[in-house]
Amino acid sequence: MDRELSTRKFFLDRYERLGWKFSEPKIRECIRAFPDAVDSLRKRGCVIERVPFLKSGYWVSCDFALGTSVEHLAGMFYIQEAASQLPVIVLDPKNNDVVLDACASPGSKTTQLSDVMHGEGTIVAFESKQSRMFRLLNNLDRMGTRNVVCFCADLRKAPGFGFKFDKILLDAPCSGNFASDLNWFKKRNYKGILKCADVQKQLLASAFNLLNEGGVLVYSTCSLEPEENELNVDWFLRNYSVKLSTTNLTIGVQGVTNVFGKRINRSVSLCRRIWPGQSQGFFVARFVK
Amino acid sequence: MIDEFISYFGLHLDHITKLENRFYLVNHAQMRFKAKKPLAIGLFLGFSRKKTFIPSNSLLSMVSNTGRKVVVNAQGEWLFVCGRDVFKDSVLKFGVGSPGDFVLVVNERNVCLGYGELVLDNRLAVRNVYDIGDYFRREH
Repeated sequence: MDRELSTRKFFLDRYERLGWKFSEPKIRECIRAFPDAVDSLRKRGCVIERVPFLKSGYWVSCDFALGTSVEHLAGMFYIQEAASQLPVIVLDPKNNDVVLDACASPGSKTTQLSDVMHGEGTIVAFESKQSRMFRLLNNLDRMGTRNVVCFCADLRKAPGFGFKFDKILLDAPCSGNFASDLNWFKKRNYKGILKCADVQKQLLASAFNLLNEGGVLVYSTCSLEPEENELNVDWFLRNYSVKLSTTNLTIGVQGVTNVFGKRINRSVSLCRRIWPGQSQGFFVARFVK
Repeated sequence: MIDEFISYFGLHLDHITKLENRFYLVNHAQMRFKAKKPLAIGLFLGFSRKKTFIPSNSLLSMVSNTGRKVVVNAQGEWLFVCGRDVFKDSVLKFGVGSPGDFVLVVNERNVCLGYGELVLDNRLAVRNVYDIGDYFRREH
């Protein structure tokens, strides 16, 4: 009967059953920046506060549009929501890794990977939609990444790509969440959630085939729905030779292991679920092959 | 076209690869992906648009230590990145160059805003050839 309901009440009731009572989120504008950009913006009158759980993340308040500032145009910072910076931290790529960013556009995490790897190693970026490629290339150019190789490619159609990766970031297309989209409750329904979950399963399966033995796969979404998160993780554990490892994140709560009465693999508690507050909702899981 | 630009500002680069009208600096590890026909590979250096070479932020940054530059104030900075020319009263400092030369335009924090042609008439100092506001205009 639940499946026939797709209203705001329907979803908020689900979240309450998953352990979160609704409170109005107060999303703060966030950037990922180098110290010289922070200094430059402070001199222009911006109020900047370091995000406590991020090394290079800052909350910003200023009286001009950040996106049109010279510092932004010159690639000195990237406007990137706080929770969205977590998957790359969890993946923790090293300088000599070969990394796949499987769903790269518009490039916030691709450029973040490049920064964390200090421009070394190689990042292969896939984006399946031609219409989204322009924005990805523009951001890679603007940020001056030097270790990215970019393809217009669908991960699901890339088994013959011919390369395998030490690390894969699968920040999967998802249904989003109400904190980042004011019209979310009007646009989304349970059927659509299940469709997203199916696509995500296909992406997980394809990512597995491109991962080296012992390699790390980080799966993330900005959805709050367990069908796209914990239940997909449980499916992946049951069907593929992977295990979960800790994300080492202290923000958020553990992944849910009892989803509306269905008990799933206990190791799913190693995942991290971030409910909306000062940042949007997010979910992160770290697998090892 | 790119060779002229980089040698004009006293730079030398090896291993430049061209993908359609876009130029990249590529290292050895990245070359193995080239046969797969990527859309981008390595460090973006710029692209050709009609008969002009448009440098990237990275390439501008590489050549920014040249003496061929003018330093502009905040107003000049804003006007320039909106696609306008640099007026004389916005210039804080002139580097080396004569009318007709190409110069970089930088702000007081030495952030490179683009480049243009040195004019030095009654009002105008630099005619805008390319500015970093182009990123914003391309997206919108």
